[in-house]
Amino acid sequence: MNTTPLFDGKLIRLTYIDLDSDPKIESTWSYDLDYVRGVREGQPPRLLWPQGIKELREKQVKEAGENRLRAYFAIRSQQDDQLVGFFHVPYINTNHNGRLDLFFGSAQWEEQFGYEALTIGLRYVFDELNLYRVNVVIAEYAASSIRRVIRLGFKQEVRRREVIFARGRYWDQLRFGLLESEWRLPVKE
Amino acid sequence: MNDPIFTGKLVRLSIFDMDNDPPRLAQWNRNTEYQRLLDSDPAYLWGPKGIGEWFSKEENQNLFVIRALEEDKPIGFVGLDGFNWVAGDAWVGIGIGEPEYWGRGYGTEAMKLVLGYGFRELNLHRVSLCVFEYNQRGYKSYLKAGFVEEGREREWIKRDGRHWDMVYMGILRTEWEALCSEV
Repeated sequence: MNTTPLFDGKLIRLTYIDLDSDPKIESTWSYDLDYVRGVREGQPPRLLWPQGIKELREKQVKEAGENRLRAYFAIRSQQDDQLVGFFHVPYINTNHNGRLDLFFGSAQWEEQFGYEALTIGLRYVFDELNLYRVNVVIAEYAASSIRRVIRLGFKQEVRRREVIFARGRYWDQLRFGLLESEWRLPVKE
Repeated sequence: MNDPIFTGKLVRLSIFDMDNDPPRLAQWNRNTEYQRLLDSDPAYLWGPKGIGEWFSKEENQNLFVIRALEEDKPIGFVGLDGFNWVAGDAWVGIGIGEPEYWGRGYGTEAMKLVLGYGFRELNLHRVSLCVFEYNQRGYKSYLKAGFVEEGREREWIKRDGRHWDMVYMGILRTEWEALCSEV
């Protein structure tokens, strides 16, 4: 059995969400409306109040406790324990499909920690949640996220045309998929 | 005045009849092909009460019962949900529960009526749907209604020991307008 840590990488670790302090920090991230479009997909983007986020995260944590086929974790830097993002698996269905979402508080953190966070996240969905396939959903303007998932073996499967409106124009939504069997193959660097 | 937007040549879109429709929908759910084309969740037998409660929810009141114009018989349902009012997107779902109406254009016409409602009255920019790879009748109907395939999530659903893709389709307002002007 593989007992290497599930939640610890060299740069980041996954932790529980601290419902007292994390929502205040997440609130400040909402000045970046791309962040809000990620966490509130399909809803009008707006600045997020700490209390509203706290209620949402409380609800999600409660749901995850009652139904373990989902997961909500915080991503923190190993160096200084600072909150840098969130890791969500919002649903799994009976076909053993799930969706993996990574949200970072800044583009710099995403660049710095995104690859490792995704690596840890994939091990969690395939070896803990036992998924058959996983998908990630990315706006076409998020070029670095797209490069990262392709580097980890995801294949672009769907392009939903003009389904995002941001900065005065429509954008496509890209959906990427990775099968467990593909994930088990060594990554070609 | 009845708005002609809800009536076609074969079918009309009607309000859910809380007294008479739930038992009929419960009966449709006994049809394996209907359930397996409709939903990826395990087939389930809801009672009329549960079905009525589900249709009564505010978010489900954009659903219509499809009635064949002859005898005004309920044959299925169609509706929009998952609205994204910023981008103007909505998901459409459709199911024809009476097998003798499969493959005869009734569903396609109901879909066209819903698209008219979505684009002309709700000011949508696009409409989305998903269809399982094994639902070729549905796929062809959606192409006829003007949808374009936007990709497939591989091996998304497991039925009878094998995996099938989930096909994503969409129609943009401009594509729908072009179809309307052809007629």
